[in-house]
Amino acid sequence: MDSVRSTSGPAPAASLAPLRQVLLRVRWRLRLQAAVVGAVEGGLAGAVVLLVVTLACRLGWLPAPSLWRAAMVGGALPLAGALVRAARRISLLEVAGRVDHTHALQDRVASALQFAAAPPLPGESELLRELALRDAVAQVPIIQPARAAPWYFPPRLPLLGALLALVGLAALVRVPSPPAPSPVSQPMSQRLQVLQVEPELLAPEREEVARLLAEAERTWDETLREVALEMQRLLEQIERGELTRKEAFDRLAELEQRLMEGRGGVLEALRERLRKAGADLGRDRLAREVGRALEKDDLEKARQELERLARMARERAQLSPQKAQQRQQLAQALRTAAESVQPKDEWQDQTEAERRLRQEQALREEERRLKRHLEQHPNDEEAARRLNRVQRELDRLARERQERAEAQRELERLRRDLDRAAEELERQLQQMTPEQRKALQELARDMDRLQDEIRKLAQQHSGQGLSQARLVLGSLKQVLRRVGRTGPGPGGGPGQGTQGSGGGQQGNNPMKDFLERASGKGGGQDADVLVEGEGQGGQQGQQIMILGEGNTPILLPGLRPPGPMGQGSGRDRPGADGIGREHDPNLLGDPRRLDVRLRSTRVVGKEGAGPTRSETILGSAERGFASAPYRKVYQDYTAVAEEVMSRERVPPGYRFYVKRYFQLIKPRE
Amino acid sequence: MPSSPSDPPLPSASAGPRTAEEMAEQVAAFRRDVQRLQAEVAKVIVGHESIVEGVIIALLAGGHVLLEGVPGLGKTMLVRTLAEAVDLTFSRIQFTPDLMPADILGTNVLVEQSDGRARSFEFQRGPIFAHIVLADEINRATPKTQSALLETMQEGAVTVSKTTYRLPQPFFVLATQNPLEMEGTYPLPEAQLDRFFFKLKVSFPSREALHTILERTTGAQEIHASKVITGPRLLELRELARQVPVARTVQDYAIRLLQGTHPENLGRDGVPVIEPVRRFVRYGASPRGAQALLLGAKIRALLDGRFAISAADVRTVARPALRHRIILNFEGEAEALDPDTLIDAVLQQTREPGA
Repeated sequence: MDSVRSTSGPAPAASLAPLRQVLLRVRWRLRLQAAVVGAVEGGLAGAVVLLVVTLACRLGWLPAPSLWRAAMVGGALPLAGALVRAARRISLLEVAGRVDHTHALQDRVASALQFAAAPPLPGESELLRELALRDAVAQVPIIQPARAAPWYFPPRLPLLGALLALVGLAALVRVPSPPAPSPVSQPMSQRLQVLQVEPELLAPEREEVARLLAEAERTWDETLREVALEMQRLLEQIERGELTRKEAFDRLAELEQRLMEGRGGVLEALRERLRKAGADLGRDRLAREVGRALEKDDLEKARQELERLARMARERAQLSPQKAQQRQQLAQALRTAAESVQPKDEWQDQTEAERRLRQEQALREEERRLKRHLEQHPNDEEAARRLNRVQRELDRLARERQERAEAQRELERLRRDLDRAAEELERQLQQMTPEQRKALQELARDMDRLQDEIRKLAQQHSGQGLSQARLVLGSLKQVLRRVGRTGPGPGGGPGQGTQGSGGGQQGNNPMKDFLERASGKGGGQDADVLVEGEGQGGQQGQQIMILGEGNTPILLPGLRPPGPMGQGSGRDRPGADGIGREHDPNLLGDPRRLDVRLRSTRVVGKEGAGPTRSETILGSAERGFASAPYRKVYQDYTAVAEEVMSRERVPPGYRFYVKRYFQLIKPRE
Repeated sequence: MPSSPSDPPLPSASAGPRTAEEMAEQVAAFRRDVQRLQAEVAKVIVGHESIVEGVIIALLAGGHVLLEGVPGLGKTMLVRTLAEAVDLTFSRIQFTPDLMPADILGTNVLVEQSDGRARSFEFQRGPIFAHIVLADEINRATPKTQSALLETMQEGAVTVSKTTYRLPQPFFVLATQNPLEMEGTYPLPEAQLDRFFFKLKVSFPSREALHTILERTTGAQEIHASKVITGPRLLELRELARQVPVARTVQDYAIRLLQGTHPENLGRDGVPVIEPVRRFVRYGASPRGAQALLLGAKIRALLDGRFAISAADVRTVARPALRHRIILNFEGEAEALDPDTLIDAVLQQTREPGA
């Protein structure tokens, strides 16, 4: 039979060639169609991604660059879908079945492919198989690939179009920003994003940093200068919105660490001079202890030693002049110390003085120009702000000049005292007459005064520069917390909030309710006390406070003090022991005391609603704060405070407190 | 009586076709012979073309047919006409409750020799010894007699007194039964029903067909079918039909159809869950059903001029091949469910190759 077949017709595989070609064409169309469907499905996925990201960007949940990345992903997904679908395996048998089905070929093509691929079963006629193959090939002319694999509209194409239209709408329509971004309503994710701080909020910090910079330049304190510059950069970055909340706090922590490690400023310069004076005094046997104390920065001991020297001088005024040589040595040491103490007066530096003078003149000129401008355009708020800024800068320069003059006078007084002590000793050497006793007594007084001067110097300059920098850092931290805080409650801060005492377990609702009322939206419940505090409890408490010295929280009057768990950050301040650590253990007396008067009482229960132990006090009006009048009052009082601070001598640190206070009570927009 | 002298000479069955062209010619001759047989039967039988085709397919496949229909629809006439059209012997057995197996198969009788001196037992062949046997109202006989008939149907031989007698070939049994008169009947057991290749339901003829029937049967002229095909030719046609190749996908389709009638196979091995089958079937069709599907489809393909069977051929023969092989459960019996409904559900939910 095989020989007969080989001579009577072509081999089945060869005879199927035209059929295979047709089938391959059909398969190509199927692949193409599948690719289109895959592209549409991928496009659907991409459109969904794009829509979500676009909405998120519009709502501010994602930064703008995310939109470009989403667009790239959205563009790549249809391509991936097309490739995946087109690469799917489509067997020729599947295609043949499709051709049979669409052309009503009674399985001729599929059967022929199988007959060509497999040997005949026992009992099957090879001739009939060959006839079946020929029959299938004979159907090739009527096979139309377009009929077997017709183009069809991808069923999800309208959905894709609708999604793309939505994406376009989302991209075009500008979503209005919420009218008052209440910190309560801000989501956690937004807090973790870029920190947005109004520049006006940071104005006091900027001024303080500028002042610190000037202080650092004046005292040649490199550490303070670096810290101040770093703080200035930090402020600029925060204003530009370049930092996230976490980054900002990290930088603040780093600066605080540097401040804790840093030493410098005016105190350091003065101490350096005192140490040098101490070294000079140390060469004299009598003043050796004074010198050592000064070298060790132990001003208290130095004062005590000087007191001892004065006492000695009084005693020795009664003694014979055999000690003349010793006195001469002491006088020489005192003179050398006086020369060492004599400060280098930066104000004598012509270049620095000229620079400050030019700066002041430029500011004066700017002030005059702005005043003229405001006379012509009284409604120009920007010019008013600039004028205010220039005036504050002029005030700052004046204060600095005044402070420097004061410091110079103090040092000059010290130098004079030392000189006088030395002269008195020399005079004593020349004539030990009754006047000598008087002179020695004068010397003792001078010594006493010298002690006072040293004490005053220590008090005036103790930690002024660096602690002021720490103060500014604490204030800045407080501002960032206030800005970044979206609501009180557990975990509201970056691990620094605290649980206030005195029933601070209030939930979100009271704070939210309060803020809503404060913004005039009214509230459905009675408000409790407005509190906001910080501490180490890991939760944001509900005490309101202003930042005290050394970051010590100061409660507003009338509010509850922090309780046992409300540890404030005032521990950072040397000497401060923090607030609210715990109650006095003897608050209620010794529980073992027996000498107490007993009084039997009996409590009789009453049915119904009895008196409660707690009472809710309305903290804000039902319709919200009367913001308009308060704003006016606030402006008036702010103006008065500024005027007073510019007119009177207020220490720089206290100026900062006043500014911070007014900033904290500033009415909300 | 062979075919008419005007017909082209048939290829020799013993030599067989040597080329594809010769095979194609044999297939064409197959079609012609069968069409001639159908036309001859159609001269007498009116309006039952599908029944005639089913009977001829079963005849060519070597199977037997169970005809079911109310009395008077021409079942007996159909079988008689077929027997007339085919040059084969024909016998008709009217099954009654008192019919004994020996009445069908034959029996040994004492025969006296012509000289009168010697007498011996001689097997007297029963009516079963014919090419075409009409077992009329088979369900009226006792199971004993039924089983005697059905055994010969399966074996193609009769064994009496340890002697086996071969039945003539081709051997073709057409049994009829009345679905209405169930009183005093013995319904065929499922195992014996399975021995029928097809079960054909004879339906009531249409009005047009009735007109023709009346015209043909009430006139003066009596119409008879003439013999158009011989027994040996019928065997050649059978052999050719069995050589038709089957594609794997089509065979798989037939298997899946068969599996679809089995409630225990639903939802497994690619068989869909067919709710009517799951609910009403106790046991599905036997593998004989699949054999009937493929054999019937092969003849259908040849009759259609094709050289390989298709899924459509399988679908066409699915009802007659499977309907008597599906055993309904109690609920199906209570609902008097027609097995054709189940087969339609199976056909509808089983995916065709290429679909």
